[in-house]
Amino acid sequence: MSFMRHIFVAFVLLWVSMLEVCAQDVNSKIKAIFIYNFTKYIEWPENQKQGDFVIGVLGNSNPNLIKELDKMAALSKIGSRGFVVKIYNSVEEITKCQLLFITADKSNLITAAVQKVAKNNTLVIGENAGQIKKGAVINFVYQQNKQKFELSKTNAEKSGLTISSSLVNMAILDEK
Amino acid sequence: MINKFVHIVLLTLLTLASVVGSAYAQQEKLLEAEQALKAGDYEKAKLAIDLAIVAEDVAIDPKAWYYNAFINKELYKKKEATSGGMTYRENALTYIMKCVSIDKENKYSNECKNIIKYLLSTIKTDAVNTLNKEDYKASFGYFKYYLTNYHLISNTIDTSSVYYTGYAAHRIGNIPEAIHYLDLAMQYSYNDPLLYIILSDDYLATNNIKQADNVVMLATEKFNDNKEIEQLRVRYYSQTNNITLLILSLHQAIRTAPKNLDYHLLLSQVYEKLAVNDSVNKRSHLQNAEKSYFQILGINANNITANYSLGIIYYNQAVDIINAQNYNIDFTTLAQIQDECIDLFKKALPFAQKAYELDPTNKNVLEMLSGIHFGLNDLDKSNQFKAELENLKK
Repeated sequence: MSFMRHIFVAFVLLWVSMLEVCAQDVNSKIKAIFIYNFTKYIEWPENQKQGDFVIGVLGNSNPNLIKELDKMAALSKIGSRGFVVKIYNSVEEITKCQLLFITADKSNLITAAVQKVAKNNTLVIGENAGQIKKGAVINFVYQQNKQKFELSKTNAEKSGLTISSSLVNMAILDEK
Repeated sequence: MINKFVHIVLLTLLTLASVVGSAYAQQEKLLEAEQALKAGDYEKAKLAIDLAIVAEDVAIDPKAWYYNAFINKELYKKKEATSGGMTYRENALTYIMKCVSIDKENKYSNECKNIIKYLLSTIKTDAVNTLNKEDYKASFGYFKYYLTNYHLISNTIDTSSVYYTGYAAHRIGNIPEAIHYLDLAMQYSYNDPLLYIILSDDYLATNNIKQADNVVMLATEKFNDNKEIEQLRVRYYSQTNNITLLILSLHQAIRTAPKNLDYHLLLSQVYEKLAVNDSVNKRSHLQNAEKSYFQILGINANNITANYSLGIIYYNQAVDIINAQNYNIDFTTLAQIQDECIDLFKKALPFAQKAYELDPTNKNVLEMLSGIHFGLNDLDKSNQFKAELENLKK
């Protein structure tokens, strides 16, 4: 019966395969959900309420986040406004945008970027430690494996943005 | 005129004398063959019979063919192992069949039967020997010849030879002949599970699902608890994509052999595949797979497939949960989802770590570990495994 045993073992080997890892950057999806929610809890001045809502991304080290933002832009709206995602490789490239996300690899450019958008009522978001101190309104952080966000009311006020108290309650406040 | 007449008569007489003389000479040769045969000088007997048999009156004499067969049979016995020996056996068989066909009064029937019996027994021996040497082509030829002529020596059925003819045909890929003989062996109630296994495979190979089903069913009735038949059912139902019966047969096989890892692995993978193809019942299929993998770990905690698969089930579950979310879910829901996913990533981690311990160069394992740590927002560790993975890909 060794002949049949070989057949069965060959059959098992053929059948048994390793399930593939779902290639999904869960953190980027969560960030995109956060970003979408920020637009609901923050109010921009009247002059920023027309046309498409532009999300600028400085840096391209986080292609998964860009993909998620593109998906979000295709599927969602803010009121009747559509989303547009723009990628900037340098501070000089930054144009008028309502939200500017600075990826970790460009976090050293935050001061320059904040200066560049200072008069545009732009919500600047970072994802590296210390970004609030350098002028970001929101900064993504991880606490106990969980993605959370720091928020600076002061920086928001400087940018002419009004933050809802609900958002403040959910944030880690960083006002030092 | 008279001279001419005398000439014709003389010529006729001469011709007659020559014919009679020639016939007499052939009969002499037959007699010579008979004497040589009795003296055991088969070479001489063969020379004589070969000369004798060309005569018309000798060629219709069953005795001459019987002698011829007998002489060739004896020469085969002497030179059995040589290629010449094989020719003698072939000749003996041809001549004995000739004898049988012209012996209307059955004067030589017993003698013929004995010679055929002997020759067929040598052919069967060759069939078995070549089968044991895995020369299936030769074996099939011998068995087939043996079976074709078996009725000349017996009214019974040589069932095992019928089966082995089918088996040899199967091994040389002659599926129609394999089916013919194996089906026959099955009808003769040949009692070997392997017969049913091969026959169902061959029916399946020819897309004769109805017959294949029937064979598997008969095998199940006949050898219900037989290990090979259990394996047959598992293979068969998976090949015919009959998932319900596949699961049933796997459960039954596990009941018979609870520690057989192959069965547990197959069952887990069947549930996994069901989960992939049946999104409605995905969760319950994955729970079944999970249960099955835990049973494997109960038997062998170091089984890499079970460790990896459990890790991946939890990891993918977390990813699926996040993937399914809309961008506009509120913060409270998002927080709950994050908690749920972190729990799943944490649940996946020990299995992934164990799989890594068992095979640190497995790319799937490294990818999963990187993904789990990323999901847990431990980016340093995630990058560490990512780097290991990149190194392996170089």
